[in-house]
Amino acid sequence: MNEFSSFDYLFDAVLVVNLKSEIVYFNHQANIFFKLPPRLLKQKKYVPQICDSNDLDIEEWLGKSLLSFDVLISPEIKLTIPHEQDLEYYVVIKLIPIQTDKGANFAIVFNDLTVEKTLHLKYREQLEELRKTHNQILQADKLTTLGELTANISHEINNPLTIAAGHSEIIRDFLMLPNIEKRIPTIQSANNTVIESIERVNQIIKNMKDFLHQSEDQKEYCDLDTLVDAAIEWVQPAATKAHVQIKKQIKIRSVALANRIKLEQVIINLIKNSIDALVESGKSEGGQVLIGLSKSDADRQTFIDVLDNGPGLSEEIKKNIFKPFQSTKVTGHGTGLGLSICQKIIESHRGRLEHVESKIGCHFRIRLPLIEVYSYTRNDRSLSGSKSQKKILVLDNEVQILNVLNTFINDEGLVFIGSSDPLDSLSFLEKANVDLVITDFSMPQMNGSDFAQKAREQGYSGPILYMTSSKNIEQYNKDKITLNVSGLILKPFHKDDVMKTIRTALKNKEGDV
Amino acid sequence: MKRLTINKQILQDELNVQLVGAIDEDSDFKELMGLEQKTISFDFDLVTMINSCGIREWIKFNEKLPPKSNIVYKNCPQIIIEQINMVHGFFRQGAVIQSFYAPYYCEKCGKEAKIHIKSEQVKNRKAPSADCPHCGNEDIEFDAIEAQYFSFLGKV
Repeated sequence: MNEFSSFDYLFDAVLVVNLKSEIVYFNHQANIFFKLPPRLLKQKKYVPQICDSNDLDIEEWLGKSLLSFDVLISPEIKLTIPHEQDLEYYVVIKLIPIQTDKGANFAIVFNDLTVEKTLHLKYREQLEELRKTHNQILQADKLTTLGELTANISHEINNPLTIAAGHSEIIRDFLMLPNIEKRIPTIQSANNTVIESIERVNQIIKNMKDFLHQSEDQKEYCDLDTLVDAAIEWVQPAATKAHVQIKKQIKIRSVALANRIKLEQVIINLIKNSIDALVESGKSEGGQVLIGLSKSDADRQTFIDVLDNGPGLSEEIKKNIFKPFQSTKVTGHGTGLGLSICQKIIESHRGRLEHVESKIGCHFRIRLPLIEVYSYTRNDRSLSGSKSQKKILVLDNEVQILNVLNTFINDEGLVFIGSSDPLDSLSFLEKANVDLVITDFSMPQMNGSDFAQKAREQGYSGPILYMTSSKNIEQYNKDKITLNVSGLILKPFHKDDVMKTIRTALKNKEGDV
Repeated sequence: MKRLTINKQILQDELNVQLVGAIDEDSDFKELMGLEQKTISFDFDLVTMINSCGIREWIKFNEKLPPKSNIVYKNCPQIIIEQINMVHGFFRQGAVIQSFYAPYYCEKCGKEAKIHIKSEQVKNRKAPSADCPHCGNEDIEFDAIEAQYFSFLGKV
């Protein structure tokens, strides 16, 4: 029995080489793996005569590895077999030193990962295909929604166009009359009306283009109040036609980190479903759809509620409401995909869409995570705990400022955490590790100075930067001493100025440590 | 890689299944479920490849074969024999391997050949003698390790 014959029991191919890199043994699996019968494998003296790789110079790697006399593992490489041109393996090679009575040898073990690699690539391809299909369904649903709203939208376009056409005629007629000077104010007024009407049409077309634009997975900070308004604008013509009243109840001013168009699509779908239910049940006269915005501090979530005073949902429908192709509408109206798509969209925002039990009508609630938590956790790198990735909390009630700074800060490889509410920021600072805070100075709930004071009181010791105009410089000079405020970003700002201020403040903080 | 095709014929009380192509993660043997016959024979002659996922699918399927049926495997190529020798459960207990292929080498003409062998020809795990299909040489050499290659015969 050969001293290496125990390798015959392994499922991996094993070649044993001596210190001169000569093959002195191969196990049974090596015959199968290299597609060489023992008769031919015996004739091969060195490993590169059996297999080759463009990813690794096997001869050189073995040469270096043999010198160290230690267990070594190669990176994953693609292995080719010269005598079997179509054969390729993905392997990890392991080199194990073996000391025997006859001297030192090395077992080269070929760990075959081909199946795993193939499955992984296949899985990635299928996932990509699914993603594309999902986007196509999403787009198709948008087209359906648009198609169903088109009749009312064309009415919306026709009105200003009729007004513009009428006033153009007035201008034309007046221009042909004598004493034109006397009529100039009237002509100017008619001209303004034409411009306003065309602008209105332009706005409607722009909304349509925005809605259909496939800006998938592009998330930005958006003002939910504005977003709800945009959604209402879409369905308002259909509501007016059906004599349904749309009301808004905004308890908070809230910002979400969301794909604006997709979130708008969800709200449009929910409102449209309510209008359709009211119309189909004959309750549209006096019908109401209420859209509410509120926040739960306990759940750390923002709620968008859509309620109506329609017929509500039957128990049977409630059970399947989020399944695809479930529709309460008559055939030809609605794809039945709406709510299942809405659910997926909200889930992609780490939120939830749910049906809430109510005594009257139907009530859907969108739950979205507060932006501080979401912007912190969506960045996987930040979760990996990499110390080199500094986390910057930016507090500003203007979404445009949050979006600009988000781009600046992320571009520089730092983690951006957006916040629009000082109280949420303070609560977040208590729980999470933040390296630097930038706060707007003038905010409705509290000014930057009060915020800095509260942050210091609750134990935050990192750098704080104010972001304000030069009129608050005096306050900054005071807070620099009393609250250890590290710097000031003057509005309007440039990227270089912002990033330099951040980098310097972070560097000074590290210097302190 | 050609996906697995399953051809099947039922003649009297025997179901003949011919497997063509690669047995891998996409292989689905569902269409054979419920075709209970006294004898079920599997012909592997045209199987081109089998990987570990295919083996898993095959074993899962084997476990669901009707317990009362006689199972026969025939024309097993070298790749199948190599897997059988390594993997537990590839064959159902009591199944019969009627025939298979084995690698031979002719020293006279220098060519390799896969010789079709009936299981009963193998005695004590020794390769039966064979003629070279290329030059007619009457005593060609077995081109693998006999004890290992024929070890499956001890399993069934």
